[in-house]
Amino acid sequence: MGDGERATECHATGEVLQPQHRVVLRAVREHLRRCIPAGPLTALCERWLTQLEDHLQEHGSAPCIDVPYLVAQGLGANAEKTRTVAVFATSIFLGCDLLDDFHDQAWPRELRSASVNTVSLAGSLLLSVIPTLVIAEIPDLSDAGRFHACRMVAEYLQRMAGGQADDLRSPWNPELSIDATQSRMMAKSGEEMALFCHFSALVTGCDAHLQQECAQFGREMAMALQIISDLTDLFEKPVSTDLQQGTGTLPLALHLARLETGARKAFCGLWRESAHSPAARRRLQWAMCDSGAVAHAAVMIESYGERAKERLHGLPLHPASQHALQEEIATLSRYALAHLQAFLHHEPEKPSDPLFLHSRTLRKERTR
Amino acid sequence: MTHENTAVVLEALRHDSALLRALTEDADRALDHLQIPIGADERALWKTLAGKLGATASITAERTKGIALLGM
Repeated sequence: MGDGERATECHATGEVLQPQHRVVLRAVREHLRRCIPAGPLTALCERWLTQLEDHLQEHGSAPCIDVPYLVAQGLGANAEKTRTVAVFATSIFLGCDLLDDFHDQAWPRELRSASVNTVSLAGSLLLSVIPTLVIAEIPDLSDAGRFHACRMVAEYLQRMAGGQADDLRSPWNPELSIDATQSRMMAKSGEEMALFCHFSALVTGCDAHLQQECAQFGREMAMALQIISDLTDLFEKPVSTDLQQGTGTLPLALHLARLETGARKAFCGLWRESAHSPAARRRLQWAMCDSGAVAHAAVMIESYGERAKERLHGLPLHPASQHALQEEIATLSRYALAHLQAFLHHEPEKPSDPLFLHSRTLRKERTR
Repeated sequence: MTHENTAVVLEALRHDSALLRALTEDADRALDHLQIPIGADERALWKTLAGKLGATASITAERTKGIALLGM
Protein backbone atom coordinates (compact mmCIF):
# COMPACT_ATOMS: atom_id res chain seq x y z
CA MET A 1 0.00 0.00 0.00
CA GLY A 2 1.40 3.43 0.83
CA ASP A 3 4.79 2.43 2.19
CA GLY A 4 6.63 0.45 -0.45
CA GLU A 5 9.43 -0.67 1.87
CA ARG A 6 7.13 -2.04 4.53
CA ALA A 7 4.89 -3.67 1.93
CA THR A 8 7.90 -5.56 0.53
CA GLU A 9 8.81 -6.76 3.98
CA CYS A 10 5.30 -8.06 4.55
CA HIS A 11 5.29 -9.86 1.19
CA ALA A 12 8.58 -11.49 2.09
CA THR A 13 7.47 -12.86 5.45
CA GLY A 14 3.94 -13.60 4.31
CA GLU A 15 2.76 -13.40 7.90
CA VAL A 16 2.61 -9.81 9.00
CA LEU A 17 -0.56 -7.82 8.56
CA GLN A 18 0.30 -4.40 7.18
CA PRO A 19 -0.45 -1.54 9.59
CA GLN A 20 -2.95 0.05 7.18
CA HIS A 21 -4.87 -3.21 6.85
CA ARG A 22 -4.88 -3.70 10.62
CA VAL A 23 -6.35 -0.22 11.12
CA VAL A 24 -9.05 -0.83 8.50
CA LEU A 25 -10.07 -4.23 9.84
CA ARG A 26 -10.26 -2.80 13.36
CA ALA A 27 -12.46 0.06 12.12
CA VAL A 28 -14.84 -2.35 10.32
CA ARG A 29 -15.09 -4.46 13.48
CA GLU A 30 -15.92 -1.32 15.50
CA HIS A 31 -18.69 -0.46 13.04
CA LEU A 32 -20.09 -3.98 13.33
CA ARG A 33 -20.05 -3.82 17.14
CA ARG A 34 -21.86 -0.48 17.05
CA CYS A 35 -24.53 -1.81 14.68
CA ILE A 36 -25.45 -5.19 16.12
CA PRO A 37 -25.30 -7.08 19.40
CA ALA A 38 -23.19 -10.24 19.57
CA GLY A 39 -24.98 -13.18 17.97
CA PRO A 40 -25.20 -15.22 14.76
CA LEU A 41 -25.12 -12.09 12.59
CA THR A 42 -21.89 -10.88 14.19
CA ALA A 43 -20.40 -14.37 13.91
CA LEU A 44 -21.18 -14.48 10.20
CA CYS A 45 -19.66 -11.06 9.47
CA GLU A 46 -16.66 -11.88 11.66
CA ARG A 47 -16.07 -15.08 9.70
CA TRP A 48 -15.81 -13.11 6.45
CA LEU A 49 -13.57 -10.50 8.06
CA THR A 50 -11.26 -13.26 9.31
CA GLN A 51 -11.18 -14.76 5.82
CA LEU A 52 -10.11 -11.39 4.43
CA GLU A 53 -7.57 -10.99 7.23
CA ASP A 54 -6.08 -14.39 6.38
CA HIS A 55 -5.83 -13.40 2.72
CA LEU A 56 -4.12 -10.13 3.62
CA GLN A 57 -1.65 -11.94 5.87
CA GLU A 58 -0.83 -14.47 3.20
CA HIS A 59 -0.66 -12.20 0.17
CA GLY A 60 -0.04 -8.76 1.66
CA SER A 61 -2.70 -7.05 -0.46
CA ALA A 62 -6.28 -7.10 -1.68
CA PRO A 63 -6.96 -4.84 -4.70
CA CYS A 64 -10.51 -3.98 -3.62
CA ILE A 65 -9.11 -2.30 -0.52
CA ASP A 66 -5.68 -1.21 -1.67
CA VAL A 67 -6.60 0.42 -4.99
CA PRO A 68 -9.17 2.89 -3.56
CA TYR A 69 -6.91 3.45 -0.55
CA LEU A 70 -3.99 4.39 -2.80
CA VAL A 71 -6.19 6.62 -4.97
CA ALA A 72 -7.44 8.49 -1.87
CA GLN A 73 -3.95 8.76 -0.44
CA GLY A 74 -2.56 9.92 -3.78
CA LEU A 75 -5.22 12.62 -4.02
CA GLY A 76 -4.08 14.00 -0.68
CA ALA A 77 -6.52 12.43 1.77
CA ASN A 78 -5.33 12.45 5.37
CA ALA A 79 -5.17 9.30 7.52
CA GLU A 80 -8.78 9.66 8.69
CA LYS A 81 -10.14 10.01 5.16
CA THR A 82 -8.08 7.17 3.72
CA ARG A 83 -9.35 4.96 6.55
CA THR A 84 -12.91 6.08 5.76
CA VAL A 85 -12.44 5.07 2.11
CA ALA A 86 -10.94 1.71 3.05
CA VAL A 87 -13.70 0.91 5.56
CA PHE A 88 -16.33 1.82 2.97
CA ALA A 89 -14.71 -0.38 0.30
CA THR A 90 -14.05 -3.26 2.71
CA SER A 91 -17.64 -3.32 3.91
CA ILE A 92 -19.11 -3.38 0.39
CA PHE A 93 -16.53 -5.91 -0.77
CA LEU A 94 -17.36 -8.23 2.15
CA GLY A 95 -21.11 -7.85 1.56
CA CYS A 96 -20.76 -8.82 -2.12
CA ASP A 97 -18.42 -11.68 -1.28
CA LEU A 98 -20.73 -13.05 1.41
CA LEU A 99 -23.85 -13.02 -0.79
CA ASP A 100 -21.94 -14.41 -3.76
CA ASP A 101 -20.48 -17.28 -1.72
CA PHE A 102 -23.92 -18.01 -0.31
CA HIS A 103 -25.37 -18.27 -3.80
CA ASP A 104 -22.43 -20.34 -5.01
CA GLN A 105 -22.79 -22.64 -1.99
CA ALA A 106 -19.11 -21.98 -1.27
CA TRP A 107 -20.07 -21.80 2.38
CA PRO A 108 -17.81 -22.64 5.35
CA ARG A 109 -18.76 -25.88 7.08
CA GLU A 110 -19.26 -24.26 10.49
CA LEU A 111 -21.79 -21.82 9.01
CA ARG A 112 -23.95 -24.31 7.13
CA SER A 113 -26.71 -23.81 9.72
CA ALA A 114 -26.93 -20.05 9.03
CA SER A 115 -30.44 -19.17 7.89
CA VAL A 116 -31.23 -17.24 4.72
CA ASN A 117 -32.54 -14.46 6.99
CA THR A 118 -29.22 -14.19 8.80
CA VAL A 119 -27.28 -14.12 5.54
CA SER A 120 -29.61 -11.47 4.05
CA LEU A 121 -29.31 -9.33 7.18
CA ALA A 122 -25.52 -9.63 7.19
CA GLY A 123 -25.47 -8.63 3.50
CA SER A 124 -27.72 -5.61 4.19
CA LEU A 125 -25.53 -4.58 7.08
CA LEU A 126 -22.35 -4.68 5.02
CA LEU A 127 -23.79 -3.28 1.79
CA SER A 128 -26.11 -0.66 3.19
CA VAL A 129 -25.90 0.14 6.91
CA ILE A 130 -22.13 0.51 7.31
CA PRO A 131 -21.57 2.44 4.02
CA THR A 132 -24.38 4.84 4.95
CA LEU A 133 -22.89 5.39 8.41
CA VAL A 134 -19.47 5.95 6.84
CA ILE A 135 -20.96 8.60 4.52
CA ALA A 136 -22.69 10.28 7.46
CA GLU A 137 -19.34 10.54 9.23
CA ILE A 138 -17.09 11.73 6.35
CA PRO A 139 -15.13 14.70 7.68
CA ASP A 140 -15.55 18.10 5.92
CA LEU A 141 -18.43 17.11 3.65
CA SER A 142 -21.54 19.28 3.24
CA ASP A 143 -25.06 17.89 3.66
CA ALA A 144 -25.51 18.24 -0.11
CA GLY A 145 -22.28 16.25 -0.58
CA ARG A 146 -23.56 13.50 1.71
CA PHE A 147 -26.85 13.38 -0.17
CA HIS A 148 -24.94 13.15 -3.45
CA ALA A 149 -22.73 10.34 -2.04
CA CYS A 150 -25.77 8.32 -0.88
CA ARG A 151 -27.40 8.62 -4.26
CA MET A 152 -24.18 7.71 -6.04
CA VAL A 153 -23.72 4.58 -3.93
CA ALA A 154 -27.31 3.49 -4.57
CA GLU A 155 -26.87 3.92 -8.33
CA TYR A 156 -23.65 1.90 -8.39
CA LEU A 157 -25.17 -0.88 -6.25
CA GLN A 158 -28.16 -0.97 -8.61
CA ARG A 159 -25.86 -1.55 -11.61
CA MET A 160 -23.86 -4.17 -9.70
CA ALA A 161 -27.05 -6.01 -8.74
CA GLY A 162 -28.14 -5.94 -12.40
CA GLY A 163 -24.84 -7.49 -13.49
CA GLN A 164 -25.02 -10.14 -10.81
CA ALA A 165 -28.64 -10.98 -11.73
CA ASP A 166 -27.63 -11.40 -15.39
CA ASP A 167 -24.82 -13.68 -14.30
CA LEU A 168 -27.29 -16.07 -12.70
CA ARG A 169 -29.77 -16.04 -15.59
CA SER A 170 -28.48 -18.65 -18.02
CA PRO A 171 -26.00 -21.17 -16.69
CA TRP A 172 -24.06 -23.40 -19.14
CA ASN A 173 -25.19 -21.22 -22.02
CA PRO A 174 -23.81 -22.47 -25.38
CA GLU A 175 -24.68 -19.09 -26.96
CA LEU A 176 -22.57 -17.16 -24.47
CA SER A 177 -21.22 -14.14 -26.36
CA ILE A 178 -18.01 -12.22 -25.70
CA ASP A 179 -19.67 -8.80 -25.78
CA ALA A 180 -22.53 -9.74 -23.47
CA THR A 181 -20.09 -11.35 -21.05
CA GLN A 182 -17.93 -8.24 -20.99
CA SER A 183 -20.98 -6.03 -20.36
CA ARG A 184 -22.00 -8.24 -17.45
CA MET A 185 -18.48 -8.15 -16.02
CA MET A 186 -18.43 -4.40 -16.32
CA ALA A 187 -21.75 -4.10 -14.47
CA LYS A 188 -20.85 -6.64 -11.82
CA SER A 189 -17.17 -6.04 -11.06
CA GLY A 190 -16.27 -2.92 -13.00
CA GLU A 191 -18.88 -0.88 -11.18
CA GLU A 192 -17.71 -2.19 -7.82
CA MET A 193 -14.15 -0.88 -8.22
CA ALA A 194 -15.46 2.23 -10.03
CA LEU A 195 -17.60 2.98 -6.97
CA PHE A 196 -14.62 2.63 -4.63
CA CYS A 197 -12.36 4.89 -6.71
CA HIS A 198 -15.18 7.39 -7.31
CA PHE A 199 -15.77 7.47 -3.57
CA SER A 200 -12.05 8.11 -2.96
CA ALA A 201 -12.20 11.14 -5.26
CA LEU A 202 -15.43 12.40 -3.71
CA VAL A 203 -14.11 12.15 -0.15
CA THR A 204 -10.99 14.10 -1.12
CA GLY A 205 -13.07 16.92 -2.64
CA CYS A 206 -12.20 16.37 -6.32
CA ASP A 207 -14.37 17.92 -9.03
CA ALA A 208 -16.91 15.88 -10.99
CA HIS A 209 -14.56 15.33 -13.95
CA LEU A 210 -11.78 13.92 -11.79
CA GLN A 211 -14.29 11.76 -9.90
CA GLN A 212 -15.34 10.23 -13.23
CA GLU A 213 -11.71 9.70 -14.30
CA CYS A 214 -11.01 7.86 -11.04
CA ALA A 215 -14.15 5.76 -11.55
CA GLN A 216 -13.03 4.83 -15.06
CA PHE A 217 -9.60 3.87 -13.78
CA GLY A 218 -11.37 1.60 -11.27
CA ARG A 219 -13.45 0.00 -14.05
CA GLU A 220 -10.37 -0.83 -16.13
CA MET A 221 -8.51 -2.27 -13.15
CA ALA A 222 -11.55 -4.35 -12.19
CA MET A 223 -11.94 -5.83 -15.67
CA ALA A 224 -8.33 -7.02 -15.66
CA LEU A 225 -8.75 -8.36 -12.13
CA GLN A 226 -12.01 -10.13 -12.97
CA ILE A 227 -10.43 -11.99 -15.90
CA ILE A 228 -7.60 -13.08 -13.59
CA SER A 229 -10.18 -14.15 -11.01
CA ASP A 230 -12.00 -16.19 -13.69
CA LEU A 231 -8.77 -17.90 -14.80
CA THR A 232 -7.77 -18.56 -11.19
CA ASP A 233 -11.14 -20.15 -10.47
CA LEU A 234 -10.91 -22.28 -13.58
CA PHE A 235 -7.29 -23.42 -13.27
CA GLU A 236 -6.02 -23.02 -9.73
CA LYS A 237 -8.79 -23.48 -7.19
CA PRO A 238 -9.34 -27.03 -5.91
CA VAL A 239 -13.05 -26.62 -6.63
CA SER A 240 -14.22 -24.23 -9.35
CA THR A 241 -17.37 -22.47 -8.19
CA ASP A 242 -17.84 -20.95 -11.65
CA LEU A 243 -17.91 -24.41 -13.23
CA GLN A 244 -20.22 -25.72 -10.53
CA GLN A 245 -22.65 -22.85 -11.07
CA GLY A 246 -22.33 -22.87 -14.86
CA THR A 247 -21.26 -19.22 -14.76
CA GLY A 248 -20.44 -17.87 -18.21
CA THR A 249 -17.04 -16.27 -17.68
CA LEU A 250 -14.99 -14.48 -20.33
CA PRO A 251 -12.46 -17.29 -20.94
CA LEU A 252 -15.39 -19.62 -21.64
CA ALA A 253 -17.01 -17.07 -23.98
CA LEU A 254 -13.67 -16.73 -25.83
CA HIS A 255 -13.48 -20.50 -26.23
CA LEU A 256 -17.09 -20.86 -27.40
CA ALA A 257 -16.49 -18.12 -29.99
CA ARG A 258 -13.86 -20.40 -31.57
CA LEU A 259 -16.30 -23.28 -32.04
CA GLU A 260 -18.98 -24.10 -34.60
CA THR A 261 -22.55 -24.70 -33.39
CA GLY A 262 -22.20 -28.50 -33.12
CA ALA A 263 -18.93 -28.25 -31.26
CA ARG A 264 -20.42 -25.62 -28.94
CA LYS A 265 -23.14 -28.02 -27.84
CA ALA A 266 -20.61 -30.79 -27.32
CA PHE A 267 -18.39 -28.46 -25.33
CA CYS A 268 -21.34 -27.47 -23.14
CA GLY A 269 -21.71 -31.14 -22.25
CA LEU A 270 -18.09 -31.18 -21.12
CA TRP A 271 -18.65 -27.88 -19.28
CA ARG A 272 -21.56 -29.39 -17.31
CA GLU A 273 -19.64 -32.57 -16.63
CA SER A 274 -16.63 -30.62 -15.37
CA ALA A 275 -18.77 -29.27 -12.52
CA HIS A 276 -18.47 -32.60 -10.74
CA SER A 277 -15.73 -34.52 -12.57
CA PRO A 278 -12.04 -33.59 -12.08
CA ALA A 279 -11.16 -35.52 -15.26
CA ALA A 280 -13.70 -33.53 -17.27
CA ARG A 281 -12.37 -30.33 -15.73
CA ARG A 282 -8.85 -31.24 -16.92
CA ARG A 283 -10.15 -31.87 -20.45
CA LEU A 284 -11.98 -28.55 -20.38
CA GLN A 285 -8.83 -26.76 -19.19
CA TRP A 286 -6.80 -28.38 -21.96
CA ALA A 287 -9.41 -27.45 -24.54
CA MET A 288 -9.38 -23.84 -23.49
CA CYS A 289 -5.58 -23.61 -23.46
CA ASP A 290 -5.26 -25.35 -26.81
CA SER A 291 -7.89 -23.25 -28.55
CA GLY A 292 -6.08 -20.05 -27.59
CA ALA A 293 -8.99 -18.85 -25.42
CA VAL A 294 -6.80 -18.61 -22.30
CA ALA A 295 -4.05 -16.75 -24.18
CA HIS A 296 -6.75 -14.47 -25.62
CA ALA A 297 -8.00 -13.79 -22.08
CA ALA A 298 -4.41 -12.95 -21.15
CA VAL A 299 -4.20 -10.44 -24.02
CA MET A 300 -7.39 -8.87 -22.69
CA ILE A 301 -5.91 -8.60 -19.18
CA GLU A 302 -2.97 -6.81 -20.75
CA SER A 303 -5.30 -4.57 -22.75
CA TYR A 304 -7.31 -3.50 -19.70
CA GLY A 305 -4.10 -3.13 -17.68
CA GLU A 306 -2.60 -0.82 -20.32
CA ARG A 307 -5.78 1.25 -20.42
CA ALA A 308 -5.70 1.53 -16.62
CA LYS A 309 -2.04 2.58 -16.79
CA GLU A 310 -2.79 5.28 -19.33
CA ARG A 311 -5.70 6.56 -17.24
CA LEU A 312 -3.51 6.48 -14.13
CA HIS A 313 -0.93 8.76 -15.78
CA GLY A 314 -3.65 11.39 -16.18
CA LEU A 315 -4.64 11.34 -12.51
CA PRO A 316 -2.98 14.00 -10.34
CA LEU A 317 -1.77 11.55 -7.72
CA HIS A 318 1.19 11.83 -5.39
CA PRO A 319 4.21 10.05 -6.98
CA ALA A 320 4.35 7.37 -4.24
CA SER A 321 0.73 6.38 -4.90
CA GLN A 322 1.27 6.53 -8.67
CA HIS A 323 4.20 4.17 -8.27
CA ALA A 324 2.32 1.75 -6.00
CA LEU A 325 -0.63 1.60 -8.41
CA GLN A 326 1.72 1.05 -11.36
CA GLU A 327 3.12 -1.88 -9.40
CA GLU A 328 -0.41 -3.28 -8.98
CA ILE A 329 -0.85 -3.09 -12.75
CA ALA A 330 2.57 -4.67 -13.34
CA THR A 331 1.48 -7.63 -11.20
CA LEU A 332 -1.59 -8.12 -13.41
CA SER A 333 0.63 -7.94 -16.48
CA ARG A 334 2.99 -10.62 -15.12
CA TYR A 335 0.04 -12.94 -14.67
CA ALA A 336 -1.08 -12.31 -18.27
CA LEU A 337 2.43 -12.86 -19.62
CA ALA A 338 2.75 -16.18 -17.77
CA HIS A 339 -0.34 -17.50 -19.58
CA LEU A 340 0.78 -16.06 -22.92
CA GLN A 341 4.22 -17.61 -22.63
CA ALA A 342 2.69 -20.95 -21.75
CA PHE A 343 0.56 -20.80 -24.90
CA LEU A 344 3.30 -19.62 -27.23
CA HIS A 345 6.11 -21.86 -26.03
CA HIS A 346 4.59 -25.09 -24.76
CA GLU A 347 2.33 -27.61 -26.40
CA PRO A 348 -0.03 -28.80 -23.64
CA GLU A 349 -0.22 -32.57 -23.14
CA LYS A 350 -3.09 -33.87 -25.22
CA PRO A 351 -5.74 -36.02 -23.52
CA SER A 352 -7.20 -38.83 -25.63
CA ASP A 353 -10.73 -37.54 -25.68
CA PRO A 354 -12.77 -37.99 -28.89
CA LEU A 355 -15.13 -35.15 -28.00
CA PHE A 356 -12.28 -32.80 -27.67
CA LEU A 357 -10.45 -33.80 -30.80
CA HIS A 358 -13.72 -33.35 -32.67
CA SER A 359 -14.15 -29.79 -31.49
CA ARG A 360 -10.50 -29.07 -32.27
CA THR A 361 -10.91 -30.31 -35.82
CA LEU A 362 -13.92 -28.08 -36.35
CA ARG A 363 -12.03 -25.09 -35.07
CA LYS A 364 -9.13 -25.72 -37.41
CA GLU A 365 -11.44 -26.11 -40.38
CA ARG A 366 -13.00 -22.78 -39.53
CA THR A 367 -9.60 -21.12 -39.31
CA ARG A 368 -8.69 -22.38 -42.76
CA MET B 1 -9.36 -4.47 -30.20
CA THR B 2 -11.22 -7.00 -32.35
CA HIS B 3 -11.43 -10.53 -31.04
CA GLU B 4 -11.09 -11.98 -34.55
CA ASN B 5 -7.73 -10.25 -35.06
CA THR B 6 -6.48 -11.32 -31.64
CA ALA B 7 -7.36 -14.95 -32.40
CA VAL B 8 -5.57 -14.79 -35.77
CA VAL B 9 -2.42 -13.18 -34.32
CA LEU B 10 -2.26 -15.70 -31.46
CA GLU B 11 -2.64 -18.68 -33.78
CA ALA B 12 0.00 -17.33 -36.16
CA LEU B 13 2.47 -16.66 -33.34
CA ARG B 14 1.94 -20.09 -31.86
CA HIS B 15 2.61 -21.98 -35.06
CA ASP B 16 5.42 -19.81 -36.38
CA SER B 17 8.33 -19.39 -34.00
CA ALA B 18 10.11 -17.13 -36.51
CA LEU B 19 7.11 -14.80 -36.46
CA LEU B 20 7.14 -14.78 -32.66
CA ARG B 21 10.83 -13.88 -32.69
CA ALA B 22 10.19 -11.23 -35.35
CA LEU B 23 7.42 -9.74 -33.19
CA THR B 24 9.81 -9.17 -30.30
CA GLU B 25 12.43 -7.67 -32.66
CA ASP B 26 10.28 -5.52 -34.95
CA ALA B 27 6.61 -5.67 -33.98
CA ASP B 28 5.36 -3.40 -36.78
CA ARG B 29 6.97 -5.53 -39.48
CA ALA B 30 5.73 -8.79 -37.95
CA LEU B 31 2.17 -7.45 -37.71
CA ASP B 32 2.29 -6.15 -41.29
CA HIS B 33 3.42 -9.59 -42.40
CA LEU B 34 0.10 -11.03 -41.16
CA GLN B 35 -1.82 -8.82 -43.63
CA ILE B 36 -4.83 -8.27 -41.39
CA PRO B 37 -6.42 -4.88 -40.66
CA ILE B 38 -4.94 -4.14 -37.24
CA GLY B 39 -6.05 -0.78 -35.80
CA ALA B 40 -3.72 1.68 -34.08
CA ASP B 41 -4.77 0.74 -30.52
CA GLU B 42 -4.42 -2.93 -31.28
CA ARG B 43 -0.99 -2.40 -32.82
CA ALA B 44 0.12 -0.42 -29.77
CA LEU B 45 -1.03 -3.24 -27.49
CA TRP B 46 0.87 -5.89 -29.48
CA LYS B 47 3.98 -3.71 -29.48
CA THR B 48 3.79 -3.40 -25.69
CA LEU B 49 3.24 -7.14 -25.37
CA ALA B 50 6.09 -7.88 -27.77
CA GLY B 51 8.42 -5.72 -25.68
CA LYS B 52 7.41 -7.54 -22.51
CA LEU B 53 7.65 -10.98 -24.09
CA GLY B 54 11.07 -10.14 -25.47
CA ALA B 55 12.32 -8.75 -22.17
CA THR B 56 11.04 -11.53 -19.94
CA ALA B 57 12.62 -14.95 -19.94
CA SER B 58 9.99 -16.86 -18.02
CA ILE B 59 7.23 -16.04 -15.62
CA THR B 60 5.45 -18.65 -13.59
CA ALA B 61 1.80 -18.25 -12.67
CA GLU B 62 2.80 -19.37 -9.16
CA ARG B 63 4.46 -16.04 -8.50
CA THR B 64 1.32 -14.13 -9.30
CA LYS B 65 -1.17 -16.16 -7.29
CA GLY B 66 -3.47 -14.46 -4.85
CA ILE B 67 -3.77 -11.15 -6.66
CA ALA B 68 -7.35 -11.56 -7.76
CA LEU B 69 -9.65 -10.99 -4.87
CA LEU B 70 -12.90 -9.42 -5.94
CA GLY B 71 -16.22 -9.38 -4.22
CA MET B 72 -18.10 -11.28 -6.88
